[in-house]
Amino acid sequence: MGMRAAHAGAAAEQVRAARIDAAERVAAAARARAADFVVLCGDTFEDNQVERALVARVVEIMASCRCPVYVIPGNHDALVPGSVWGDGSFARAPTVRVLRDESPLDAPGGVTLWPCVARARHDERDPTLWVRAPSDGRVHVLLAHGTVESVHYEEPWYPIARDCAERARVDYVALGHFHQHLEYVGGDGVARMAYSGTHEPTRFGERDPGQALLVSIEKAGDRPSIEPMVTGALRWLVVEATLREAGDVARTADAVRAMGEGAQTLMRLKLDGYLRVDEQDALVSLAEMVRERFLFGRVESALRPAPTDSAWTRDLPPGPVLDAAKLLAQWAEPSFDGRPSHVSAEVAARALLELYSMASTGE
Amino acid sequence: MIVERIAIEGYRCFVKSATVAGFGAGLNVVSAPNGTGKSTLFEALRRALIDHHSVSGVEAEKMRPWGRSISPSVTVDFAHGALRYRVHKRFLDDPSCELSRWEGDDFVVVDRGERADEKVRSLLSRPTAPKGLSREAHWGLAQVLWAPQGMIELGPLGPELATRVRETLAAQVVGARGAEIERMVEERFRAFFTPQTAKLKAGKKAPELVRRSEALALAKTAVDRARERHERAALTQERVGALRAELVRAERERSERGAQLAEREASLRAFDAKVSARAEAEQRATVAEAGAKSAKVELDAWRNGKAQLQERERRQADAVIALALAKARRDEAAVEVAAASERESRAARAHGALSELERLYRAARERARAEAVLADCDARIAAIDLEILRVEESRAALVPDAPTAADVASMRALEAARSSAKARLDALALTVTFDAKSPVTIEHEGEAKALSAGETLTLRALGALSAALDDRVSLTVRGPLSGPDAREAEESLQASAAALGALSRRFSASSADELDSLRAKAAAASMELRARERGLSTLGGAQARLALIERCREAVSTLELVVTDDRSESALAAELERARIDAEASGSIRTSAEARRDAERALAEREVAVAVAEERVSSCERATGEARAALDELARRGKSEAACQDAFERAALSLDVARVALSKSALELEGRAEIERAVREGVAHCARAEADALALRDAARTEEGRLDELVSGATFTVLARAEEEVTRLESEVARLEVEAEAVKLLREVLVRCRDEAIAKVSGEVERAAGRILGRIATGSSLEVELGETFAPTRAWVGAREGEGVALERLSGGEREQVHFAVRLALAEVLASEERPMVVLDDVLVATDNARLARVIEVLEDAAKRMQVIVLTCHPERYATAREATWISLAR
Repeated sequence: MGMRAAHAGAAAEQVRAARIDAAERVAAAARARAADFVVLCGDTFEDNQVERALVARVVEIMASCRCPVYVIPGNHDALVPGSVWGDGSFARAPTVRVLRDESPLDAPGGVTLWPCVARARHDERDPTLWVRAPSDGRVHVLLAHGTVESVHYEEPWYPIARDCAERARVDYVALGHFHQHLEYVGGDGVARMAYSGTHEPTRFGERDPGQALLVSIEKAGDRPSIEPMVTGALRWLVVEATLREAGDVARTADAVRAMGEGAQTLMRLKLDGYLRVDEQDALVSLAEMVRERFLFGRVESALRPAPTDSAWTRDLPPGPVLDAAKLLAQWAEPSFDGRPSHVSAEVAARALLELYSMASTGE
Repeated sequence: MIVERIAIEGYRCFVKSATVAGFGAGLNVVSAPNGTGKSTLFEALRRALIDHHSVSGVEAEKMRPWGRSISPSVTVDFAHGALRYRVHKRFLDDPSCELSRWEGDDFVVVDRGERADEKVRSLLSRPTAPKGLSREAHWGLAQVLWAPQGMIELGPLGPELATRVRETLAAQVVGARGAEIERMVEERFRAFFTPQTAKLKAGKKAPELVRRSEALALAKTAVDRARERHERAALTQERVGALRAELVRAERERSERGAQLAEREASLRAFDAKVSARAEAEQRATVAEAGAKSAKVELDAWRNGKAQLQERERRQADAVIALALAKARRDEAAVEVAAASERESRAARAHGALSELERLYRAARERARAEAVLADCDARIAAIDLEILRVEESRAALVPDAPTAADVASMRALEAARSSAKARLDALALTVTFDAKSPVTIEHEGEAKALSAGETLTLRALGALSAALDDRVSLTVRGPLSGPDAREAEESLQASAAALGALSRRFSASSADELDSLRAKAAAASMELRARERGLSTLGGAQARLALIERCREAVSTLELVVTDDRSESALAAELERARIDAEASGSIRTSAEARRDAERALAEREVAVAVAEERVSSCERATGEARAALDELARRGKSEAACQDAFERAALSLDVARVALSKSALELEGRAEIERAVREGVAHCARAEADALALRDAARTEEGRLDELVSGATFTVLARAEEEVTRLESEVARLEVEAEAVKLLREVLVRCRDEAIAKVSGEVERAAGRILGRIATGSSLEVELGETFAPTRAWVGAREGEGVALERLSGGEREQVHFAVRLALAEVLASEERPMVVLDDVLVATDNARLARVIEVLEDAAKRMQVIVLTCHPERYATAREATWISLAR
């Protein structure tokens, strides 16, 4: 919640708002499925210094689950002085419980929770090492925030061993930190450890985000049933197209159009390859469509004038203008190595397009 | 521009009004002697067409006639295109400028003042002169077209003029459409950059890129501020955390220090209490010690007596017990003697049985071994006998004088020879066959043969054959006479038959096959005999048989000697094992005997011990009686023992208590000074800990206050939004930067291409100058090179090869001709749009007449495309100019 969304451009506020909506869907799912309780395994908030109004709204959503909600601080919202967890709204929500100590506590349904609390942004110690659950017939659930070994993540803090569930002798390890849904199967072939991923997709290029997990354990020692429930709404699409032939711009536009209406879609359209003279207008239309059709749309063009397309120079007057066009066309080819050091292929291509545009206007 | 008329008044030597008119559109030769005012006229023309009317300064003052203060004025009528203009300028005092245009019947004012100046200059030349006329570079196009008196040399063109020349050349190579595109590129470039420095424009006309960049810089500043505030919040969080931890530690320290102080104060109070208690304890100890001593004397008397009695009673009891024990041991020894005797006899029995069984077992084994030897020898003898029998049989089956393989081969050769001889005889013999149709008797060589119907008879004979049929027919058949072959065959037949008969008789075989069969049988019998003999040899033969018979005899005698019962060897072995176990369990006979003797010795010793114990019991009974008598004497004399004991225990207890109290207080009373010092230190520590905790509490509250203030500002949210704005602006700026860079690059490339094209075209100016020079210097052509600013730099006589000649090294005449040619060539280039005016003021003075004549031809030719005004004081030199307009200032 409250994340920075610079990558979403002008849609940053909508992206943040979508995360609130997704949180409400999680609460609704908890009510609909009569969950015994809900756990949030850290990084509920992007930072401890988010708006307090946002904190109050999130607590309100948690309280609407109609069941106890157990929250552990993560590395982004670590339990430090002045953290979000000191906000008064938590005290006004009796069903929302922030777990601040490493001590087991009983939860509904014969469950014992073992919370691992993050107290700093960075920590290279395994937060679960203190857990050794007894064999007392209760279902033991470990709540942790960190990076399971072998997960490649830009924030490799709070390392957690893959055999955490076996070592801690718990029935399930609920994990937070990694943004994507990921389950870990133990030596007995049973998945007892899982990241739910974020409840709403966060950025481009994520796999299986936007979910909450409904975890059911009948009794101590039973195989946990892990059911992903879709809670996210936004689609973050990256479409890459290489234009080679005439009509490729139109075909790309058709493909984008076929993706449907995009009020919930953020799109990066990456174009590479060659642009033909007669497809310039189509490219402009495509860029406009991407911008207007989706919540966020950006065309990243690395297109260059097709070297085989003589139309780029056909209508230019002979002499310096034509010479300049030919020189720019040569420089616009990325593989050409005789380009002056201060000139990039991208700028040369753009200069050629400018020249063509002026020549067309001047006719 | 075509000058038609010049009117001048109050200008240097022209004090009065003077007019020079009648200029033609082509070549004009204005002649006048020296001092007439040719150059003044030329200067006035320049002032009128180029200079500002408001020009001032020392140079401008020279326009006034010497020694007069009148204002100079100049009026020039000229045509430009299809229009005629008149410019009138008044300089210095009350300066003015007025430009008029001929409109039907009169000149009508078009512009006045500065604008009129500008308009005239623009008609004459672009660019306009920025300053006064002192420098040629400020003349604009006139720098090329006008050569002042004696100054034909063309200096470096002013930058704007050079540009103009280039642009003019470029226009020729670029063309109208190219120029339009270049103009658009330039316009686009200037939307982003300043043309002089090629830097992004600033101020109100700054492009969007600059505005966005500025916005980006502001946004980054905002991010920096937000980040600084956010980091400050994080640092404050850390400080608060650290202060809280420090406060907890300080509070714990304060609490521990307080407890420590209280403990030390209590120790001091306890110390003082113990000092007073010690005196009382010493008193109590002295009294207790005296009482204890007195009670102890009485008690010791009782205790000694009782102890003596108890000791003696104990000794008596010990003696009685020792006696009973000695008796018991004696009885045990007697029982042990009996048991040892029994074990000894049992061992003797077991060992006897074992010996007997061992003997029987050995006999049984001996008998079994002899029986086995006997059976083995019998079997081997039987085998040898069987083998001897077989050898005999094989030997009997041997064939004496058996045929050999050579015999068989001889017989086969003989049979072949006989068959061959027979065949040869059969071939030579006459053959007659009788086929009886009815019974008949045939007589041949005295032998009759009766044939039934259907029977046949074949007769053979050599040479002739005779036969008689039933004595009714006599048949004689004659053939060819038998020769040597028949005889040889017959002899061979007889010889082979004789030899075969001998062999058959010798071996009783009728044929070679039979003989071969006999040979094979004889060979098989011989092989079998050899095999049997080898078998017999393997068994040892007759010698072995004799030895075996001897061993049988020995075995039989052994069996006769062995005495055993009818139990089997295995049964005896089992019994023997049991007997061994029994014997081992019983022990050896010797050991049993030794044990019995040991038991008997022990019994004798214990009998002695019983006697000694009985003597000791008697002695103890006497001593006990004596001790009891002494105690009875004590009881009669004073207190009882119990009373003495009670009095002593009370006194001793009191004494112990007093002593313990004394020793404890002695230890505890040491080190009061240390306790006092510890108390003082504790007080100081407590005060310091209290102060530390208070300071930390205050510091923590202060930091918490700061943190609350920062937290309420939602520093992260602010930072996130600021960073989002920066990212958005960075994206836009990047896009605009690419656009600006592209425009810049486009212009750069275009200028580069144009310069390259112009460089090619400027060669045309050089070539045109070269052509002019060629016309002037007939017979020797000249090539010219122009520099960056179009001033001639080098020349080549003839073809342009090698480095050429620097202009300074040419003769004065050649040099002025070169400059003349370049000026004219440039004028040609610049004349592409409008007819220009060329003015030459007394130049080419170093040119000889022959070349000048050709110069005049060149000028006449040029005058078709431009107005040429030549000012000269030597009009005769231009006499060859047939198409010139002559104007004489002298008139």
